[in-house]
Amino acid sequence: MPDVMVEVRGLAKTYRRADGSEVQAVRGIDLDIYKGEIFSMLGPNGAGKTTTISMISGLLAPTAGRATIGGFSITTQGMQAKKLLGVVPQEIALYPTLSARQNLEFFGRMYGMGGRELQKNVDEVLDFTDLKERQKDRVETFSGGMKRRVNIGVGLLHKPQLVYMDEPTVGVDPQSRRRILDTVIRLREERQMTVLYTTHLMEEAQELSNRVGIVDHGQMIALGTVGELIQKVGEDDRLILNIGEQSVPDSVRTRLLQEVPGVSTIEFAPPPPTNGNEHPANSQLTILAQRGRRALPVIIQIVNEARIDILSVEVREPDLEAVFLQLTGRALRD
Amino acid sequence: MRKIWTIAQKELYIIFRDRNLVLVMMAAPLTVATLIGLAFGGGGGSDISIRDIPVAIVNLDTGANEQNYGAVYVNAFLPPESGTSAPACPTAAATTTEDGSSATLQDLTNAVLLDDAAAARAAVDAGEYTAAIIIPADFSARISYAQNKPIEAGSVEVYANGGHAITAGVIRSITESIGSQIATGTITVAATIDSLIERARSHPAFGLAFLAASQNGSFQPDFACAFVPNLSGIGIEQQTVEGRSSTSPAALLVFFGASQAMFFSLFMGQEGVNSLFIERRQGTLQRLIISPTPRLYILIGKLGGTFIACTLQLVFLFIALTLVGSILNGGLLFIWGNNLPMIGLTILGAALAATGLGTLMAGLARTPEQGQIISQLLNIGLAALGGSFGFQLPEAASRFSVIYWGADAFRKLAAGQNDITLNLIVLFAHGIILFTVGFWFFNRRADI
Ligand SMILES: Nc1ncnc2c1ncn2[C@@H]1O[C@H](COP(=O)(O)OP(=O)(O)O)[C@@H](O)[C@H]1O
Ligand SMILES: [Mg+2]
Repeated sequence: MPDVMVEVRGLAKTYRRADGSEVQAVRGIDLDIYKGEIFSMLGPNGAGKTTTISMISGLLAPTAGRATIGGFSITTQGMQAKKLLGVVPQEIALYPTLSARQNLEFFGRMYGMGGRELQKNVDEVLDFTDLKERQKDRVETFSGGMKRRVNIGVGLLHKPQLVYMDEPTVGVDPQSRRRILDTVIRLREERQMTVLYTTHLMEEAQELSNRVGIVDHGQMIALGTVGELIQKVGEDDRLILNIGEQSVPDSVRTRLLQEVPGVSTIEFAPPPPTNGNEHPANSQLTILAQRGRRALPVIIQIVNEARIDILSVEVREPDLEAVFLQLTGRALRD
Repeated sequence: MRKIWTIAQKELYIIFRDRNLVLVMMAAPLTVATLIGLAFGGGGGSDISIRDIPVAIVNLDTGANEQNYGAVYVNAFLPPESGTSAPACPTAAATTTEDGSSATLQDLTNAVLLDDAAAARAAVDAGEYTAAIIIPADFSARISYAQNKPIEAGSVEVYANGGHAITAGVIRSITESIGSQIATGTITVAATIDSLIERARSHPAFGLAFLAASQNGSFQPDFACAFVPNLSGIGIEQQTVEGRSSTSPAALLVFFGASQAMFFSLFMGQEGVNSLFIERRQGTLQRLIISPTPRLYILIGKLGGTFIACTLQLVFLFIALTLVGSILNGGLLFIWGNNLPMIGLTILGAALAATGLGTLMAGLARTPEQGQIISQLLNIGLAALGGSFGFQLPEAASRFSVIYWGADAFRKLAAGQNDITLNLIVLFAHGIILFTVGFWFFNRRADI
């Protein structure tokens, strides 16, 4: 049994809107995060990832349930718990008119650092995030990727044992994104840190994580290593058919389910709306099937008989996307 | 304890790095008091006079929603064509016109309307005008759908001649104040301003009030209407500090400087507390909350920073006004009197009252916008009651305003009267009570 760093039991949050209506953002999450692992919370927008992070970092009071960090309750022993924790919030949270260095120094002091230790840690973080040259410039003059790096740097400054990173790659160019992912891996490999990482991108969860929890509608619907999760869906392949049609008749769905051996789930995604002057994009028909390559000829035949143009076909090995699709009947990306 | 001080320090650093804020909080009240001192301190032997500043106005504004806000500027600087404006208050039309020796905007400037922006700039370069005010074509359009945004003072260009730094500065601050009035919706109809200016000409005291208010961007036409009956017949001589018969520039500086300083410290108090909302929006407040820093420390640090900012603002204004008074006097003159400990104590009391009021407003408001609007109205109300707009209400009414208690204390000290115990008690009690109540509301809210 590995050491538990974060323990979450029955955690729930119900927001009350101004009009009196209620939103159940998190509905009872149980979770253990082990020392030294990268744990990913994977789920679509609105699944409740940020709300969960806010509760287990002491920002938001839970409606029900409890959480401990290193054995300290986040609600009743907040000061001790918070010392162990670094947070990289989803939105950039920095003083725009202060320089990168001033931001780091200020928040460092809020974690009780000072004097030489502070200067040393700030220098290290500036090195680590590759921001040394621009350290004296106001953060408001930085590019999006650089702001993200300062945002991450502030979370790492006091060398916490545990760090939460809430969708740190959103809105970042591919190069900066690669850099952030490498940083996360280095945190585990070089500093033996524990990382709670949230994302709506299954590639990231798949690459980084020791274990993944899939969240949807405020609930943890699956939890395990990537391998374990994929096994849950069986060895289903994912067949993605790009088609010219705007819809697929129910008769085709029925035939696919009944006549093709091994087909479990069918998902249709209409083309995204266009601005009018572009050609409409293709629709996507996604089919989960065991031994997908072998089932493919029959599937193509059925679709052809319904006079639906197939523009291209793609076969994907089982991945977390397929797990989500099977558990929820929806694709992960919105 | 160290964390509280770190937060307060950061607060001050951010406030005093914000050049616009410093300009409004420091330069504006100083300019108002100085201008009034200059314009009305005729007998003081000073020959400095800021009048008839040559200004060019170019209104390129094409309007939006049937409103041309650019015209507000034009009408403010140029004499309105007779007969076009309907008086906003019936009493205004009935009053007789006296000699126009008041400092209205049109006396202050000598404005000319031009069509061509480039030509206007060239004329400024050539020294023909001190400044050119150029209103862009999309001016109305921009401010029409920017209601909840802070005003962009820069959207109207003030092209100034470097050789006339002071006068150009006056024009710039007037332009900005008109801009902020348009943006906050206090002046929307050009006709209203016409009638205001008309009235300002016939009533020196009102002209003063208008000038003061237009400088600090807080004038409300309707408000003026409400007070018109009280204005008639109140001359400037009746409002000077007790015990002095003539209106020397120094006395005027004390009189207006004290109430302007009090008035603007309320805004500083509000500004400081409002930064809590700003920090929530930019996520830094959340960052503070998830750090191992008790919430109470965060609040005390932020509010303590605001309190220090208010104190520094008042200290600056009092020193700056002393310098202005000394220049007008032709030699060092302590216009605030010699009782430095009492002056210091009054400043602390005033800063505490301003912070307390800001805290209460922020504690009660549901949104930052709501807080800002309520506090602005409240500040203006207190200013009107307390005499910041150049007219004095009966003392029974003034006593409701914290501005009165502060300004009155400073005036007494300036006049050599040291009996301000009651004033100090009121200021400190006010500050402590509002602060405590506001703090309680604030701390009770889960969402900060
Ligand atoms: N302050 C709030 N008030 C009301 N509803 C909220 C608030 N914050 C989030 N929500 C709702 O709670 C749900 C979960 O949001 P969030 O935790 O931000 O999801 P995620 O981070 O996974 O995208 C969403 O439906 C969102 O609209
Ligand atoms: Mg989120």
